[in-house]
Amino acid sequence: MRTLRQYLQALLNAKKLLAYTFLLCFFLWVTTPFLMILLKSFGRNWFGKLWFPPEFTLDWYKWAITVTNVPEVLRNTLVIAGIAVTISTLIAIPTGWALGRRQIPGKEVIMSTILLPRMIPPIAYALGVAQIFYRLHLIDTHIGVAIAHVAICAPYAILVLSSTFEGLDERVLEAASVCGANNLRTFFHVTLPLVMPGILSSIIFTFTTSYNEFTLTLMTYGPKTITLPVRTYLAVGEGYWEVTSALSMILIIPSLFVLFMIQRQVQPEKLVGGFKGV
Amino acid sequence: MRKSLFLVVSLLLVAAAVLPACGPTPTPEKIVVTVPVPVKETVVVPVTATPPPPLPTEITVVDTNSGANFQLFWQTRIIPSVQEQLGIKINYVVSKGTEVAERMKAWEPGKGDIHLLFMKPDDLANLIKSNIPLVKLYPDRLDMIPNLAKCPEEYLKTAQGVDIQGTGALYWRSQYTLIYNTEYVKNPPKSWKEFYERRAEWKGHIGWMRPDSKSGSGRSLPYAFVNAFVPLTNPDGSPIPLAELEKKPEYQDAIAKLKDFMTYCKIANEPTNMFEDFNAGDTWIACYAMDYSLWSISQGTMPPTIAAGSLSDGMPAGSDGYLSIPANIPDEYKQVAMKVINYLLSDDQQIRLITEMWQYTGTDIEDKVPDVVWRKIPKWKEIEPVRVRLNNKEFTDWVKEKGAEVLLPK
Amino acid sequence: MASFLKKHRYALISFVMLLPGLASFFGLFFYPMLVTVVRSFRPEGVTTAWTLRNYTDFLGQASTRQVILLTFFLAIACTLLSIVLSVPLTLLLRQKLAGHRLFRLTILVPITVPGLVGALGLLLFYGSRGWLNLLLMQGLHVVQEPVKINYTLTGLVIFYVWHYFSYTAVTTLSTLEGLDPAFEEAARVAGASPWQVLRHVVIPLIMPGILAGSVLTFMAAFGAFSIPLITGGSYRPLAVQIYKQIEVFTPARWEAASAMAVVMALLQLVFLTFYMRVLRRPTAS
Repeated sequence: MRTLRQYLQALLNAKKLLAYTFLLCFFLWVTTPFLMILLKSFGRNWFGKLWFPPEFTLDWYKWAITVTNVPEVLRNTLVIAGIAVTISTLIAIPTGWALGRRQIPGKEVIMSTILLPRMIPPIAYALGVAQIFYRLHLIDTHIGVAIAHVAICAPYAILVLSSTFEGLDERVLEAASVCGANNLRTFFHVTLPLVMPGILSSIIFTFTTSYNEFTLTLMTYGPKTITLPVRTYLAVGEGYWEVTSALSMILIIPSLFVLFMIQRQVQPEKLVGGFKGV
Repeated sequence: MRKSLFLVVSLLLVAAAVLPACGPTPTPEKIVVTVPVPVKETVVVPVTATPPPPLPTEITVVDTNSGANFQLFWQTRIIPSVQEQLGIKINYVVSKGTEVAERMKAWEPGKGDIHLLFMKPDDLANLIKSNIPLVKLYPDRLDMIPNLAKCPEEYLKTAQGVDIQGTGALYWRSQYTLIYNTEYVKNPPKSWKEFYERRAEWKGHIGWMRPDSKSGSGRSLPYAFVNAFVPLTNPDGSPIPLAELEKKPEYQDAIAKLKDFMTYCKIANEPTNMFEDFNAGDTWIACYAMDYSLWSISQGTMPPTIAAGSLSDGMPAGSDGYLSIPANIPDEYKQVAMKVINYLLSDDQQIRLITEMWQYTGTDIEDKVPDVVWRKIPKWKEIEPVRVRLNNKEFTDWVKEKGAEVLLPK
Repeated sequence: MASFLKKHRYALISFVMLLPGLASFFGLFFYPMLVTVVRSFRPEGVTTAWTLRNYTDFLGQASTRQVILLTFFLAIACTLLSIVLSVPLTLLLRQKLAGHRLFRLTILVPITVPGLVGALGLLLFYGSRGWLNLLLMQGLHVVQEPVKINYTLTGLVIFYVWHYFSYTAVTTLSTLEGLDPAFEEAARVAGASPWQVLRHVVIPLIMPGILAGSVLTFMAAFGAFSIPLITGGSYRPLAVQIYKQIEVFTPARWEAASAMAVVMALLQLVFLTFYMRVLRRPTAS
C-alpha cells in the first residue's frame, strides 16, 4: 500500500518523463507481440538467440495463401460475420426500441435475462448448440455458424440499441407527430436517422465479436465453414509458426480497420460502458 | 392486467422451450431417418438406352493426417496433378479425426459430403471401432484400384492392432528417426537403453511431446521407449493385453524409467513448440518424423546443423497415411474417389513422395526409386527391422487418457 | 377479440417488438443450455435414462478441485492486476498529455484483434528467444539463462491480463472523464494534497466504474477458452478441460463435458451474484 501510494504520488506530481515512460512501457507491452509476429512472418533461417531474422522472405505469405486457403477462409469468415450482424441487428432494432422507449413491467428483469448469455461461459451453451445443430443439420453451414454467433452478438446489439433509443430526445419525436407524421413515418424518417450512429456502433461491435468468435465456431464449424480464428488455432498446433504468423498478419488487417472505425465513429466507452447495468 | 398478460405469455414460452428438451436427448448417431420413397410417375421409357449419368468432377477430401509440409504438398503438387491427369477437382480440407467422426455419425445414408478421407492409423482405427461404415477396398475393389495390390498386405489388414478390414489404402509410411543438433550433440546415442543411461548429459535439452498432444508423437515416443525395455506385442505382432502387461515387473520398471526419463526432457505441447525449441537452441536432441525434419531444414525452418540417426532397439512408425472412402456417400462419388486413390498409388505419384518429401512410399516399389535418394536417407530394408508399429492400441489409448496425469513430471 | 386487442394494444405492440430478442434468447441460449443440462444427467452414450454419475465422477476426482481453483485463481489474479494497471493508466490518460489518443487506442487493441493472434504474439515475445528474454540476457545482462514464462502460471496470468484488462481500463476511463472537476477543485481549495484528493475524492467516485469494469474482466477471464487452450500447457482451466472431453476422446464424451459445463456455469453465476451484491452495496467505497 505504501509503495503503491508513493508510486501513484510520483505519477501524480506530473513528472512528465515518468508519465511518458509508463505510457511507453504500456504501449510496448501491448504492441511488441505484434511486431514479433510481423518479424516471424517475414523471417527465414532465424535460429538461436538473434534479435532479427537474418533473411527476409515472402514465402510464408505465399504458403498461407495456397496451403491454408486464406482467400476461401476469409470469405467464410466475412460471410458468416455478415449474416450474424444482419440477424443481430434485425433482432436488436425492435427489441431495443421496445426496451428503450416503451413502458414494460419488469424491464430490468427482461434486460438482465437477455444479457444472461454474456454472463455464462460460452462453452457451456456451445455444447448444447452443437448437439442441436447436429440434429438440425446446421453444422458446417454458413447460416448455422452465423446463427450460433447471434447467441453472443444479439445481446450486445440489444444493449447498445436500447440505450440509444432511450437517449432519444423526446421533443424531436413530438415535433414530428405535431407536424402530422404518423407513427411509422416518424419511426422511419425521424427516429431511425437519429439512432443511425447507435446502429452503426452496434454493427461494428457485433462484427468484431463475430469475426473473433472462437468457442462457438469451434463447436459448429466444418470443412466448408472454417473461419480465420479456427484456421489460426489449427495452424498454431500443426504448422510452422512462420506460416501461422503470416496467417495472423492477414487476420488482423480487418481488425485494424475496425479499430480505425471505432476511433473515428464511436466512443469506445459505448463498447463496454453499457455493461454498467449488468 | 398487463402484468399478468406478460406473465402468462412468458410462462407459456418457457414451458414450450422446456418440454421438448426434457424428452430423450437425441444424439447424432441415433437418428431415425424416414426416407420418403418418391413415387415415380409413369414415364415412357425411351427405346435407346440412356448413357449412365456423367461422374462428378469435384470431390471433397478431408485430411486429418498431414502436417504443414504435406498440406503444402497436397495444394501445390497433388491437387493440380489430379486436376490435370484425371480432370477431377479436389476440395481439400484440413480437419481433425474426432471432428470428422462426429460429422460422419450424423450423416443419413447416401447423403455424406466427404468423399475421401486421408487419415492417421489412429483415426482409421477409431472410425472402425465407432462402427462408422467405410467402403471395403481390399481385396474387394482391386478391380477399380489395381495399384492397391502393391501395398504390403499386413498394413491393409491391421492398423494400430485393429482389424481394419481392408477399408484403408496405404498412401505412405512415415518414419521417426533420432534428430539432433550437431552443434551440441557430438556423440548421439545408438539405442533407447543408451539414451536412457546418458540422459543426464542432455538434461533439459531432450525434446519430448505431451502424452495427450494432438500429434501422434505424443503416443509413439512413450510406445517406442517402453517397447525397447519390454515388448508390447507378441512376436507375431498381436498386442499383449494391458492387464497382462501391468502384472509384469519389467513393465512397471519400464514405466518408472519413462517417468524418470521425462523429468530430463523439455516437454512440448505440440511438434511446433518442439521445433521452436530446436530453433532457439533449447532442445538439442529428440525423436521425430524424418520427413518433417529433413524438409524443414530445406525450407529454413530448422537449423542446417540438424542430423538424423537411428536407435537400434526400435524407431517408432510415424503416422502412416491411409486413404478411405466413407460408405454413406452417393455411389457415383465412390467411383471417382477410387479413381483418385488408384492415381495416388501409382508409381509416379509414390516416387514423388520420397524424392520431394523424404517420406517412405505406401507401395513396395523401393527398386524403382532413384539411387540418389538413398544417399540421403536409409533404405526401407534397413528401417523395416527396427520399425515399431504401434499395434498395441490399448497402450496408446492408455497413454492418451492417463499419460498426462501419470507420466508428466509434476 | 377486437376489444381485447384494442384494450391491450400498447402492451401487445411492446410484446411483439420484444419477441425477436426473446426468441433469440430462448432459442439460442436457453434451449441449448437446457440441452446441456439434460445431457449432463444422461449415462454415457444412452439417450433415455437418468443418472448423477457424471457429476459424482467429475466432482469425485482429486484433480477437479485443482482445476476449479486454477480457474478462479487465474480469473481473480487477472481482475486484480487489471485494476492495478488501469487506475494509474487512466489517471495519466485523463491529463490529456500529447499523444494520448494513441494510448487510448492501444487500450482497445487486445479486445479488437482476435485472441489467438494475441496469444501467438505473446508466446513469441515471452519465449526463450523472444525479445523480453533477449533484453534480459543481452541487453541488461540480468540473467544468463532465459527466463521461463511461457506455459508457466506467471506467464498465463500475464497473458490473461494482456487480453482482458481493456474492459476495466475503458470503463474506468469513461467514469473518470464523466467526473465533475468541481469536486476535486473544492477539495484542493480546502487544502488537500494531490494524494489526498486522489485517495478521498477521485478513487471513491470512480469506484463503481472500476468495479463494473472488473466484473467484465472477471467474466471474460473465467470463461476464457482460446487463450489457455494454446498457451496453457499443463495448466488447463475448466473451459479447456470441457473441450478436451470432446476433442481427445473417441467417441466424444458429451455427457461428462455437459456436467462439467453445468458446474462451471453455476460457479460463475454464484460468484457473480455475490460480486454484484458487494458492488451494489451503497457503502462499497
